[in-house]
Amino acid sequence: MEIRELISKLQSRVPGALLADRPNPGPMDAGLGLRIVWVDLKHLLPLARVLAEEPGPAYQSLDHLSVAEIGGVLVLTYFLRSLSTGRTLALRGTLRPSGPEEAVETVSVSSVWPMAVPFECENSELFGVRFSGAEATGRNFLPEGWQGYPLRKGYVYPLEYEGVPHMRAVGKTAPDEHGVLS
Amino acid sequence: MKQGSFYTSTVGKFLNWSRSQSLWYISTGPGCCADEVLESLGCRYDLERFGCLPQVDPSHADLLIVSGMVSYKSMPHLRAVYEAMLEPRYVLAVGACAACGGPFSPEFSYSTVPGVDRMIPVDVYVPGCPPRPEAIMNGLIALQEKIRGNPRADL
Amino acid sequence: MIEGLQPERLGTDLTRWTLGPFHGALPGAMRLSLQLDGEIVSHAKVESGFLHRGLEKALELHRWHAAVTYADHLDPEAAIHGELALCLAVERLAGIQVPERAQAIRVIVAELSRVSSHFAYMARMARAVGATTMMHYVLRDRERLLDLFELLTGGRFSINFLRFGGVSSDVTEGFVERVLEAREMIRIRLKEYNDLLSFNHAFLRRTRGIGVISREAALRHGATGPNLRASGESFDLRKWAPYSGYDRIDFDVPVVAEEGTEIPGDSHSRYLQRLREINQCLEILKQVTESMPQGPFEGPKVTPQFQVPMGEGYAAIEGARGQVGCHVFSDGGNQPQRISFRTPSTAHLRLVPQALRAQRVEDVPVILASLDLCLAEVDR
Repeated sequence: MEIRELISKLQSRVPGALLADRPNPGPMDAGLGLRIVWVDLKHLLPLARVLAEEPGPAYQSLDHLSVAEIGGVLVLTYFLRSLSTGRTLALRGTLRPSGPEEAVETVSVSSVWPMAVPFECENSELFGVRFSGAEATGRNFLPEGWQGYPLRKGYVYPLEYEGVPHMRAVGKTAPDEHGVLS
Repeated sequence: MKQGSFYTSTVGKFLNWSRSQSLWYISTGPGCCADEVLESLGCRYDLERFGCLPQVDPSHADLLIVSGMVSYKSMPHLRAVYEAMLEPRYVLAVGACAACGGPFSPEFSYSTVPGVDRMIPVDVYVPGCPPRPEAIMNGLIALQEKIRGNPRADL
Repeated sequence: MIEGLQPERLGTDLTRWTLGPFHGALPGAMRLSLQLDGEIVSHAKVESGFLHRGLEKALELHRWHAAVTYADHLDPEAAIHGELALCLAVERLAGIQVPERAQAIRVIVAELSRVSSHFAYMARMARAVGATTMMHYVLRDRERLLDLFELLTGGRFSINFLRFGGVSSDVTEGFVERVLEAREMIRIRLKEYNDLLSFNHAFLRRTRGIGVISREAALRHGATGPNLRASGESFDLRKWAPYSGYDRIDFDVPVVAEEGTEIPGDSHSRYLQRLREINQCLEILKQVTESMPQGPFEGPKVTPQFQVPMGEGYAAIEGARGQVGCHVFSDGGNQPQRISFRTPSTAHLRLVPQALRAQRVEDVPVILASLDLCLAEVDR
């Protein structure tokens, strides 16, 4: 199925799910090597069903879910792959957290792509993206009770953890202009 | 009296000599360095000829080899392993991460302990990322010398 | 599972076991909670994260020229695959062409790494069933491969060899001959391994029909690499989306499940799949070393001031354990904005509860070893 055909099919099946314009400026879209479709994350689940379960697109596999924070906006990229034809596609949506410590919520696609569970678990812990409808996996990266979302840009490193000071014993603590520590 | 103290010190020397020759170890913290610890067990380097035998139960082990980084999440568990070992117990910190955080030192990584010595006492540090099996063997020999009371180990 | 060989449940009182995070039977720092019915596992749960180093955050705080060094630590046993995924993503983003000689060197190192990682797998497998002789033999042969890495790059595990647009050094004199020598040695040794372990009746009893993962379950949980192929799906990125000149090489993707003698997806088929892949690596090595292209091996000079144009890049490669993906964002400066890795063991860890269900407790270490988990790349 051609990409134009696919896009028109998606537009007719889930109206309003595809975004015509890139809503967020930033260093994106160059050199990815695969087609990006911008979507409204509110409509992601019905869109995912069409993409995964219908024989035409047949994107049965979710290779990767990457989250990046660019200019205060969380950019979610879903890398899809069809196991029958080998074609790839990327879905992309954005979420805007209200503050550096605030979690955001979006819908989980693990009911359509079960391989999304570890990716969603990782990003909910490290980026504060809560995936509603995902199975509860507990903390899989950080200790219980850890504060903050470490992969956010404004994350402040802890000064100590359970009595262990989180700093170097002696010497310089910042790299010089060559990125070298002395 | 004098004879008695001579006698005990000789027994102590003998005990330390035998301790140094049978360092059964438990290896924790599998990262890159754990691969080198595995390789040094292999037949080219053969740690067993120094009396080193891998153990699974901490109460059977005399030596804790911390190979690689320790995260805050695993910190209480590593401490529990150390506390389950019987005295006298020794710790060998293998790799830059175990010594000071290495590439994951506190200004770059939020979740690693900046050096195992912040939580348990370390006897010998082996630098490297990861250290070669020869370096691990050298660290082990230094530990043996230290147990025997040889000042060479302090160098 | 073979019918009638073992009961699915015993109907005794349930007991709970928690192993780890530091336990000799586990492949790494992970925690395994088992619910046992007699000696049969009725439920298993896995917790990871004990090796979380904040690798992706550390990458953002460094410059581009340090990124390869960190990518080494993703999967220390086959470090080149993390490096390769990162370099391909950056090269796609910056539009850098890699010289053919550099591509050939990359393929040689990647395939040697794959053999080395599979050897480590066999050593762990042998250790799990108690075949210490085999473990020592495999580690001995793996040393030969580590010597080759040392000759080429100076390092044994963290080799820090690839650069954006090329490799850091050309092959040294005599390297190719040594690769061919090692290749011949491995070919002979594989026969020895088959006699010693692969078809040893005790090993077969410990692995055949045990820890079965169906093709559907493997696909559902996103398994890739040898684990997926052992379950019967012929999916290999070197064939499906060739990179680094794999399209110029003529090789087959072995799938042991299709040979008909194996129970698809059990521990033994996963082991045999790796043996077959070592053979395939040897074939690839033969072809690449026979036609090494001449020419440059370096791309642009990567200094601390090295800048990557604004944009993003994604690359997925076939690593030793499965599909390694890398997604990079750059804002045009000399620091990456975000680097995100997709690692195969993350999905394979999700298969553990499935593989352990209704198995005997003494088979748990063997099943875990047969899945080839690398906790360093799960936790990052």
